[in-house]
Parts: sequence; structure tokens; C-alpha cells
Amino acid sequence: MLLSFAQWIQFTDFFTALRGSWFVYPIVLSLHMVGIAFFGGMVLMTDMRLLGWSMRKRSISDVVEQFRVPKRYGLLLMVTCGVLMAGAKAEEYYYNVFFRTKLILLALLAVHALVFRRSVYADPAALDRAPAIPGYAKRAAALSLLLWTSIACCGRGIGYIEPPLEKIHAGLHFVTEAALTALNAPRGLEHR
Amino acid sequence: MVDFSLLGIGMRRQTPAQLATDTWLWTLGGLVLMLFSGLLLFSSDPDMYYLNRAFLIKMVFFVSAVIFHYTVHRKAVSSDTPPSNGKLVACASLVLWAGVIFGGISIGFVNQGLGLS
Repeated sequence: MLLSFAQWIQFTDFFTALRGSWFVYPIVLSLHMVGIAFFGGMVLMTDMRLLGWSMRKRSISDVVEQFRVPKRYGLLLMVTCGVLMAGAKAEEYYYNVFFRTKLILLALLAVHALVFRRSVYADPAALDRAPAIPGYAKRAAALSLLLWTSIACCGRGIGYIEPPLEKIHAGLHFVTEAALTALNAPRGLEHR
Repeated sequence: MVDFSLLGIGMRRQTPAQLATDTWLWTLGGLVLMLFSGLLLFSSDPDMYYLNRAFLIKMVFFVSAVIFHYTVHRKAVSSDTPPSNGKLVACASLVLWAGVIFGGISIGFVNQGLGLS
């Protein structure tokens, strides 16, 4: 069912045009990368501050709160570009293991955001008041770094796998043909 | 981040000069990492990259961006008072680095060489 949705969406006019044009897909991909530079840099700096490895003179609440709004814009840019690209090549991405892993990691990141929202991100001033950066904040930062880096690596890998769509389609065609022939084949006893 | 601070978008609590002093080490580290991995990537298929027009464009942008960063940009963030041409410097810096990214992505989409040999 997901496969037929993917096949349908990639043949809509909008995404067919996106895929057919020789420069739109590279531009969308480049914008996605610019978003990575922008958003990823802020995630890195926030996590580095939470781990206590960078910008130690600035308070945690300063760093977290100042990056919050630009991070949302960066994320919006990345998600938009990502959706555009995924829609254009939906069926290829359906078979692409890097793309699937990326989606799973994104789901894990959503869980991460929910888990650590109350303790770390909603009230960074409390982290400033603590004598040392608490362990859960450091764990949140480390997990965030690990997940985002993995997402970036998987995203890079997507381009290196090209599922052979013609063979897959031919294979499915062959299987359905064979099944129909077997179902409709004359039974031995009827033909005398 | 320093560029956006120069432009006045976000990160208003620190001056660009403070942000630059906070992040210069990470910037340098990132640049070193990029140079190292870039050389590795290039060495994996030198002929293709050498003949690729998009790679040439990317290198032009990259050299310009690095030179710009360590001359004009550094002077603009050296003093605590915001410079008069701060927005222009920030825009130029962002355009140059974005050019590096666009050039890099285009490498995979440009198949013909420079027409040499």
C-alpha cells in the first residue's frame, strides 16, 4: 500500500516536472545541504554547549534560546527540500535502505525531542543554576549529535544506491503473469 | 552564525566579534576536516574531478571564500563595534560558501568534462 502511494505521488504533474527538469533537483538538493550547514551548525553548537565543550563563557540559556528560532527555520528548509526530493523519486526511495534508515532515525529524533523537552530544552536556565551540567543534559546532547550525524551519513548514502526499477517491475510482472497462468492452466483431467 | 549576527538576524545578545572569538576554533577545525576529506575524495577519482566543470567552479568559490574569510571577514569582526559594511561582508560570505555547496552538488550532475583531450 505504501508502495502504491509512492508510485502514485511520484507521477503527479508537480513531481514529474521536478524530476524531469535538469536543474531543479540539484538546486533542491543544494538547498537541502545549505540547510544542513545552517541547521546542523546550530545543532552542533547547542550540543557542544550542553556538553560543556564550547562557548563556555556564555550561559546555556543564552545559547539554547538564541539558536531556537533560526533552528526552526533551518529545519523547515530541510524538511521542505526533503519532501520535494522524496516526492520526486518516491518509488526509488521506497526501496532505498538508506532512506528507510533515515526515516527511522528521524522518528527516533522526534522521540528524543519529546523525552528531553521538559528536562533540558524547555528550561535551560535551570541548567545554568546547577553547579555542573547535569548528566541527562549531556546525554541528550550526545544522543542528539549521534542521531543527526547518522542522519547526515545516511542521507549522503541515498545517492549511492540505485534500485533497479525496471528489473523490479519486470520481476513483479513476471510473477503475476506466472501466477495467472498457473491459476488458469487447464487441469490435466479435463483435457482428454 | 557570525554572518547572521552581522546581518542582525538571530543571536542578538552577542556582538559578531564575540561570536567570532567563541567559534574560531571550531571554524578552523571544520575547515581542516573539509580540506582533508576533500583531498581524500579527490584522490579517489582525480581524472573525473579534474575534468569536471562544476568541480572547477566549486574550487573557485572555495578559494575565494577562504581568502575572503581570513581577510575582509576577519577585519569586519575584529572590533567590538559593528563595522559599517557588516551586512555586505556577511552577504558576500554567505553567497561564497553557498556557491561552494551548489558547486559541490552539481559535480554529480555534470557529466561532460572541460573538453580537454
